[in-house]
Amino acid sequence: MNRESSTCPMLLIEIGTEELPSSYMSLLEQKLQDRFQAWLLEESWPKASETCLVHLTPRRIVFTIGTIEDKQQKKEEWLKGPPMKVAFTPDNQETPALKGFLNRCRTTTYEIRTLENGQYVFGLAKPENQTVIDFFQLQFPNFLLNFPYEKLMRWGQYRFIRPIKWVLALYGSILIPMKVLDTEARLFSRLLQGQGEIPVASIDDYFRSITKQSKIVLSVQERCVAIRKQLGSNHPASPDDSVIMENACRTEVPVVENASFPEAFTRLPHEIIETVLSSQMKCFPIYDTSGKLTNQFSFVMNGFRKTDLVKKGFEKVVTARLSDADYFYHQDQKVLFVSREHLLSKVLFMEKLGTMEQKVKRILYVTEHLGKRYNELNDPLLPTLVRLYKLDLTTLLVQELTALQGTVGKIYIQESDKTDLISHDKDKGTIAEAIEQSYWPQSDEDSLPTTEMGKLISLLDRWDTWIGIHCIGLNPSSSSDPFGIRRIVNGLLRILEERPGYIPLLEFVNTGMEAYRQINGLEFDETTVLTEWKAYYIQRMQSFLSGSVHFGKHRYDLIQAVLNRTDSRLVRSPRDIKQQVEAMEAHVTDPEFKALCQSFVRIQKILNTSFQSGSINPDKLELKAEQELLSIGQSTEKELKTLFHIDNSSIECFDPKKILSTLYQLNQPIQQFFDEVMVMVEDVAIRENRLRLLSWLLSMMSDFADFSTIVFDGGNEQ
Amino acid sequence: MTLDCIINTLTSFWREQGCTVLPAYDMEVGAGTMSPYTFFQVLTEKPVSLCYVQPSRRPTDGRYGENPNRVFKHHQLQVIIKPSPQEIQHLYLESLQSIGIQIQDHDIRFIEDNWESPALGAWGVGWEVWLDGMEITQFTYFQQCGGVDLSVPSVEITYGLERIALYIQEKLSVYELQFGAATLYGELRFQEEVQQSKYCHELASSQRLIQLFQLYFEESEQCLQHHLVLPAYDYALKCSHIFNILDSLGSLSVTERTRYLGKVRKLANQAAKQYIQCQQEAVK
Repeated sequence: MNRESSTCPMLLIEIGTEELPSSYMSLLEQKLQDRFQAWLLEESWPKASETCLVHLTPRRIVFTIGTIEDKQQKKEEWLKGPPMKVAFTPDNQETPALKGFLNRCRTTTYEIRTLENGQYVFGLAKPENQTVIDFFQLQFPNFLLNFPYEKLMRWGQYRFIRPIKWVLALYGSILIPMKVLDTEARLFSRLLQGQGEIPVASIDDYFRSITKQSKIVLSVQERCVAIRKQLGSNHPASPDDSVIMENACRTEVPVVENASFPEAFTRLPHEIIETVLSSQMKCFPIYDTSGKLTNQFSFVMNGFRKTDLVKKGFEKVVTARLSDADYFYHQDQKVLFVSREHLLSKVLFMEKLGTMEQKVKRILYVTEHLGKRYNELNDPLLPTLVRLYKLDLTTLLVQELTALQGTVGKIYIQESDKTDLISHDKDKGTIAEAIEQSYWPQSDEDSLPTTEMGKLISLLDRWDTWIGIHCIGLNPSSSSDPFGIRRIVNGLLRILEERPGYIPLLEFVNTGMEAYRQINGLEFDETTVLTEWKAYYIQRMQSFLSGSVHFGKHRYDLIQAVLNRTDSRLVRSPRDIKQQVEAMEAHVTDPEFKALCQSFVRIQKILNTSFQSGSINPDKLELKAEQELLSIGQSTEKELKTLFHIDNSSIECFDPKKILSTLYQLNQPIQQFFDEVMVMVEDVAIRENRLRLLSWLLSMMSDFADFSTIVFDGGNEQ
Repeated sequence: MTLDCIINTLTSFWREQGCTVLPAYDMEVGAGTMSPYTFFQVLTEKPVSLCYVQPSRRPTDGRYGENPNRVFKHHQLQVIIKPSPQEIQHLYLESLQSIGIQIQDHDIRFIEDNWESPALGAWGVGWEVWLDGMEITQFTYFQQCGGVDLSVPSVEITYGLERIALYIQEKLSVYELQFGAATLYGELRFQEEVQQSKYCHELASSQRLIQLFQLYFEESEQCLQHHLVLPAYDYALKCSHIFNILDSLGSLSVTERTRYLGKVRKLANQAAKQYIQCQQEAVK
């Protein structure tokens, strides 16, 4: 909001702190805003709730309210009091109990109401509406301190995000005398770090000193805008958003200036310079009009300082870092890149999951053993890629600039001469690209690898990590995911989703487990690992399908119907699951679809009674309707077998619409069966036989979906 | 301002703030935090204010004197205060003023950087202080030490003295720094850097060092059995230094590395627990 043009807010509370962590400032600002707004509404300040704002800088959390009511707006309400017998004496006099109740409600108005268990007094309670000053003085500190912050620190005897240094709380020009922990509100604020404190007489005064004179920008987003604007035309390629955000969270008055480093360093691969500038120094590289990296860069400082001094400082640090990187780059050249394989035994993959050397061996194992079941893994270049893709972790450059993992591998492969491992230039290019892309996508927003090799290596790498995590029982949850498994698996599922055809997921799991057993000597219970793996797979798919950029947003009951089939013999691929949900979405209004669901539920209900499972005896099917049901069931089963991937990896195209229409064939005979056949007859043999027939049909339908979860408009009358 | 003058001015500054100025601990350590003056003093609730210069050895950073910024041994000025004064940031900025850094002119920022030492079972919340983009100080509120949650957190300020001197003297290499009025840093320390780097990266015998580690470890354990925590901790420091040399030789596999680190941590954690027990018994 633009404070200079709009009217001055009526209330302002500034909590001054030691520097707040930049890593989650933007998120915290949003969360505090939402909570502040909700809290004001709960506490009956509707106007205030609509006009409140929360802003964060590294040194302050600022709460403002544009317009606020004079008093809380709690309404009168009827409260239940004592029963008649307690409220009145036998001669109908008010008892002390009744008087006490009315006092507590601050009212004299009451009435008698008859409830199920007798007559009671109800009092029309008058609310105790606090004034602005009383309310904030008493309630705000609790609101602030009880907010569910992700991480608190301790200092002295207190806990908060960072130590609180000052509190300013103003209602117009009146000080709200609140105390937060041990800090009393005073009519003072502070300027930039090191510039001391200033008296503040009113909210007007505050904005005059803090935002107008000192140029402090209170909101994170506005600081981002300010930085982007100042970067201006020096940066034709759009500057990195995350670096802009980081700078916005590290400054109160972002001032952008330009500096340079020695020309000689531009001979380094541009990725190295970009990483030093943006990852390490949070600066912005500058490119010339042809898009080539120059020896200029922009940096952001906090406030208007002696620019020459600050510039010299930044140049010195950037130069020192680049000369380090240059040193590492040249040291790395002394060891032939492709001959670094043995060094991987010194790089840890994950505690309990061994080294990178073991990881590479596991992936080679999986590639070799799954090739028979999943043809895509048979590319002759793949084993070479697997052996090379982690080698850059042994270089000094990656040990120093970890953000460059993958990229350094690409650069060093491109620079290396022909070897036994890679004999063609074309292969060199393919492998170099794939090494860099093995880390893609790095986030849910990031794009997937662009080459087939890149996709395969990213897939195999992620798969190995995912299985490993379950093998050591570190199952990620929504509150605890220290290894970032969610991000890894999300990327994997997106890669899989792109891949048509049958994917033998269960074999992937089994071979993955076998690799950990063979190569790491790890011991675990296979069934537990499989169960945990599957549970996490289903949870991820559910989250993806209920609303994501990549999988769309689908009906919850349909997602459940597809994912509920926990007892089925196969685990469908992300693509199959998505297509299945989409197919059901397209047909959910078909009358046949509804009929199928109804049959499903009806059979399920009958099967709740206990019976011995076993094969159906056709001779014991006496009636025409049940014989017909068996025969149509058999022909349907035959047709379905050609449509499912169950035992048949040669089926290229999974067509859920076709499966659905095949299942529709069962509707009519099932209907007829229920019309003409009595299932629960006295004769045990006949009854069991009929139950088995139904059970067999149910499992046929269940292979596709759990139709019982589907909800129809107007309820599930069945 | 010469390096010795910077040290003198900063220690005087903190002395005036009530800190006791101590000599450096006379053993090899990787950081000022590892000195028992910090390690044990932060564990209790008793107020403490100390300041000392600690030479800190980092074998993996040895660069044979070839790198202008990275050295086997550098110097930290360590300030440790408990409980943390309300205006500790302000005091710190004043200390920079005392060595001639005009804080109004420069971009001084506290950048989120939480600190952790796996060997000491210690971690804290805090910042690295940037002076015009250069990290010159680590500023930490200790939250845990020796695996023990600290009921009264200490604040620790660690100045990187070489970095600050580079800035003040406007030099590009540590070896060009004026250590004293008549002494160059390079004259005093260059040979040490060359020789120590050669030793730690090439010459050290990993076989003998592993034996040494084991001997020191056992000695420390024996001390712990008899509740002699201070000598036990000295031997834990020896183990830690030996581990660092082994690490810079590149002769430890990943699993060994974790194992050795775990052993040092175990000694430190036990020493911390016993120290707290002793203090509590002494109070009774």
